[in-house]
Amino acid sequence: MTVNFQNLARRSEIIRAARSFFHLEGFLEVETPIITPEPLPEANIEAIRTESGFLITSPEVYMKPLLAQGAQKIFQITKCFRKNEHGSRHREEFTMLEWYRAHSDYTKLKEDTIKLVRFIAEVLNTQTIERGDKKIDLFSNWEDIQVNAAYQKFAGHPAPTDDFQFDEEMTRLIEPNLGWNKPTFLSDYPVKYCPMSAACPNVPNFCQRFELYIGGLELANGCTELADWEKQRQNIEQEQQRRAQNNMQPYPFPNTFLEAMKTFPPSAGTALGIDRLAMLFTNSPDIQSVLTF
Amino acid sequence: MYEASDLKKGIKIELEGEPYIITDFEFSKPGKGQAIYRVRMKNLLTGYSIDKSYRSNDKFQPANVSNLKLQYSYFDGTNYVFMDPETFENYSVNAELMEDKKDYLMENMEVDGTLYNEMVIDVTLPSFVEMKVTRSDPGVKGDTATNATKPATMETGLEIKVPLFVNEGDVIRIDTRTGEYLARVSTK
Repeated sequence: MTVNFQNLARRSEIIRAARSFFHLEGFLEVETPIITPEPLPEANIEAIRTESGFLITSPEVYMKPLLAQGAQKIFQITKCFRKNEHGSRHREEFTMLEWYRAHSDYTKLKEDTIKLVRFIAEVLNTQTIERGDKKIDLFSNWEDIQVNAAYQKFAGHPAPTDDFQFDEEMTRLIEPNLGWNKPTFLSDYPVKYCPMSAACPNVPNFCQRFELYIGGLELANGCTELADWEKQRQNIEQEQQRRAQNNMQPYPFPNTFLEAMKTFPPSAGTALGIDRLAMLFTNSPDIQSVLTF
Repeated sequence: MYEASDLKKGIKIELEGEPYIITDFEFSKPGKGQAIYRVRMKNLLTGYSIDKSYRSNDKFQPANVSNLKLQYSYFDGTNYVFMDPETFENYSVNAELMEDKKDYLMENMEVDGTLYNEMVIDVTLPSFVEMKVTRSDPGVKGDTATNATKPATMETGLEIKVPLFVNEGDVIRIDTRTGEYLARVSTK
């Protein structure tokens, strides 16, 4: 395996630009622990266990408690770890950019995301992202399609209720078709697929969560965070049960997190994959092309 | 037993009683969703490819497929009979499977066989074979066009195009993958 220094140079520029963007927008850069004794349970994500605790699958477990202590706008670029995720778009160890805004919602985060990607493009002196032989214009209006409408359009029926069918059709029929003319937000997921997101006003079965796709590649996930403390506790318990059903080993209950979240303000947060962003800006079909080792 | 996460290109699995080889494999995982293993595989009996999606805890039986060297013995009127030169065991291969290959077969020729549940399901010929020309009209004198060829029949009945200078009784080398003449090995 040889290192592509041209891609590494671009990756380095992307990270530098992302950092500048958030500093210019008045965000505080934070560093939070990589090892946690109490990871947040998720039905489809497995944390790597170490002798001293679990490696974080997302910095959420520490960044949200910072908001609860009064932080207003924070961001972080950190390594995250998810066991057994390995493919042309996945590594067990990857780099995440995560940012949060207190007293805000996912609409504002979509605006942040658009501005961020365009800012990076300008620093890289490009207007477009090339994916294979296609060019995706970053500076015309981005698309926004609701999850239900996307299933209707690409699968011929509304979002299925069966979990496997939902995910299987998502990866086979929907994701590959998103974000080829312009970047596309996929918005408003069924509530059961976003235990930590707030419900849509007037549409209680769907919640304020979005994913961003560019050229069929999932790049970011954001949501209006669920602020109701009792609901958070219930949803964490529910995720623990789903993990047990999936034969995943139980984690210690996240008491520390929940205790801290008692003062959590209405907020919104987004996670964006830096490796994926580097893949897009270097027209790399495989994640390995933007990694050192 | 394999789990979906063990699958990769080249692994052979059994599905509904038939052997498949995995030709393409992709791990996908939508957002907060579950891992989906998308697999393209070729049926080793029919040659047809299919696409399937699996969850990480789906399980698969390895296909009982192995490779062995075989020697061609004879055609019994219905089947082509090959022998394992180590065990002297005979394997009958039906004529349909040999349709495109039969004219290259010569007694004692060594081939690669694919065995599934003790049945030969595929035969791979050596890439190059040497054969005697049994019939070919003499080249027309004065025809000096480059790459000029004429038809020739080999000792096995195989018909190919050969250069004008090749005569009956010559031994030539043929590429079995393209059916093309490569060189004259000896002349009578």
